[in-house]
Amino acid sequence: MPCAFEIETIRASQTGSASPELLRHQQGCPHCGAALQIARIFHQDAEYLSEHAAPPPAAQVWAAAGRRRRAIALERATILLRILKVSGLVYAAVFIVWAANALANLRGGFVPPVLDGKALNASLEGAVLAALCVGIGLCYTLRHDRPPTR
Amino acid sequence: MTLADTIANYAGSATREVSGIDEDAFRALYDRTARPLWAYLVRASGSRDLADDLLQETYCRFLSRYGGRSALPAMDEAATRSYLFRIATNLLHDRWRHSGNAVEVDIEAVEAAEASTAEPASVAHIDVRRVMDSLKPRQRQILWLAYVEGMNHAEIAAITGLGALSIRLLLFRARRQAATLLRPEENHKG
Repeated sequence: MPCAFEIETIRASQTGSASPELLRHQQGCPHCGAALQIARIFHQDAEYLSEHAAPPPAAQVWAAAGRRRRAIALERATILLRILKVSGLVYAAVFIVWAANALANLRGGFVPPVLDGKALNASLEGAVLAALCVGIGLCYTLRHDRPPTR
Repeated sequence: MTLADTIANYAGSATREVSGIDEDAFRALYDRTARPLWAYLVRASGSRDLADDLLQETYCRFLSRYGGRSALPAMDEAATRSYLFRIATNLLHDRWRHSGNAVEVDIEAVEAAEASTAEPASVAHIDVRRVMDSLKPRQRQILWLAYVEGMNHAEIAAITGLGALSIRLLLFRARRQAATLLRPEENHKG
């Protein structure tokens, strides 16, 4: 079974201060004896690694974190634009299906009640307005800086 | 300038303004914590390259989660340290999960890399490397956190996401295995 003093023994070996009670316990406990031996070897290894550690420079990590923060902020900021883009495409697809259906009905000489002049005008105006908004938005979002011509 | 550039610039300036950590404060924190964290990652992963990657990723996540909320000054040294170890441990688990636990230690590669260094490795260094290479990933983490970082069961449980009672048992088994592995070396030396 694990010894209840194991962690206390390890900590005492690191700080160098052990209570008399703990010292008495360690003398008769094989678990704590093994723990002390392992703690000593591990500590030497940790010191060796710390001396020979070559972690990336702080400036490099800071720069990487800055890039990450900007990427996350940009991702959040452009969510609305992406929603608008998808909505525009969905609207265009629905409108095309609706228009094709309406034209097929008109050719047959039948005008359904939902296709009276008023509804048709409103639909067309909505479609033009949506296309205009989506087009301007896409153009503004996707355009690149143009190099100076002269 | 495109809209994307505008937003990116705005986002960059916004995070710089909101963040409670400036570069100097981060450098001070990094100088205090990076080496022990790197040592932990090297021993737990068995790879220096992987340790480098995960160390950088650990600090990136730390800054992105807490830096923007000015929470760093509110965390004391121990809590910050513990939080960094938790992030690093989670990253190790993610890496092992994605690679199907395939990040096993290539002892020949590690030895070859370390043999090329100017200074010879200490006996303790070689012993611990061999012990850690023989242990399971979870055992390596727990053993290092307890025996090097001096963390108690509750602290290790908070970092690894396991229960404190499980940690106690796992640590007991890992310590017993480590003692068995170290004993022949000790006898050989004696």
